[in-house]
Amino acid sequence: MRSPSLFVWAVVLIVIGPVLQHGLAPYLALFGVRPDFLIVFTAMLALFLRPSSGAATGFFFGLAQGTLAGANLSQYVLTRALTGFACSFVRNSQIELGAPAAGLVAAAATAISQFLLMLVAPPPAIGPFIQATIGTAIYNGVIAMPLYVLLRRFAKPK
Amino acid sequence: MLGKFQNQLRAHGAVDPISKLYQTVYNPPIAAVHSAGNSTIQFLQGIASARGLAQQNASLKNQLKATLFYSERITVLEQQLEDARAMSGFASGDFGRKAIKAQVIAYLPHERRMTLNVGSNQGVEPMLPVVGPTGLAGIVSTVTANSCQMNLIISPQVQLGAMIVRDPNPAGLIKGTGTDSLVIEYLEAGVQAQVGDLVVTSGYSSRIPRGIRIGQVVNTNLEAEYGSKRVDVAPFMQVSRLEEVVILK
Repeated sequence: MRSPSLFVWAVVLIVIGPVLQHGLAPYLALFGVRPDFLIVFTAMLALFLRPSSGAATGFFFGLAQGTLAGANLSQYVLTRALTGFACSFVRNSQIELGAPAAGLVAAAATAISQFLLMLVAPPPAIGPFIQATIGTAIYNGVIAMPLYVLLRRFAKPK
Repeated sequence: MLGKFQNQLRAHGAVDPISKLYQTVYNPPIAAVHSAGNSTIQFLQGIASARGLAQQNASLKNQLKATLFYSERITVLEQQLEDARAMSGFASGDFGRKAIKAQVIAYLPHERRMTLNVGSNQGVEPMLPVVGPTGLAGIVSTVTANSCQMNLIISPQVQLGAMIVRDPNPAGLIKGTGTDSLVIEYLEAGVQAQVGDLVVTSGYSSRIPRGIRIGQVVNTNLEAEYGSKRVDVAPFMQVSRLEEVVILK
């Protein structure tokens, strides 16, 4: 994490992410679909980070999500860390992303993250889980676009 | 490893320290955001339902108006019912006289006079007493075939025998003053009369029976100079309640 401003952004998002997820997300539900701020933040920060840093970021977000949900920590930590790790490979590809592409990355990250979670902690009903994941992926994709623009403007390493 | 550690602690009924730390740190701000979210939702719902509430408010105002209108109407009808009950006593011959029912068809306030819709064809004659729901209303003055004129008892043209209901009954002539009160002038200064005493017709007349309620004593004045006593009487008669009356013959 070479950029100090990126580090600050990461810390800020790690701190406020759980508050937004557990406090605000229920009020932003559309047609029963809630955003998952923690996956969005993981994916968007990872776009500016090395894979190890991306995995670390995902680790902290997973830790927060697991503890506050009262769930098994290892499942959330593992899936979110893998998501951060995977997203940071986009940065390594040297492709300059636009906001829509970042939205697609966030949507894909959501799908991958929830798919991995489904593998390590199978839900009682897979159909509704997949349906909710698709909705959340779309929602996250929309939220990710302005966040990516902000991060690129204020936190991208020079 | 983290999951195993967590499960071991859970098996002993404890929460792992990481979860405890996170929950301690995050639960207060999450609750604050929840509270703000609830307030915001309620505020937005208030704005969204403002039009409906305004319509409901207007509808309730209209209902209130209608209720007030009907409430007033009910009061008037109750009054009329009460008057009708009082009048039925006269109609059934309480005073041993024939009762001729009449309606007021005109009122001349400056002359303290009313026109009734019955006349000589119905048996009405001059000087007969006219009774309203609260007591004596006036005296028939002139009669035509199908209508007659009644001078209200407050008219200065009306003068009739009256007495105060007490033992003994001091009788005298009661007169209209042209205002809203009546007066009885006694030639004896020692007449007993007190404020609140009931005044009725004395019956010392072939046309006006005894005992028709006239009013209540409101003031007594001893006129020592003339050796007389003046008693002011407030009539029970209320012009606003004189719609239907009974002429006693």
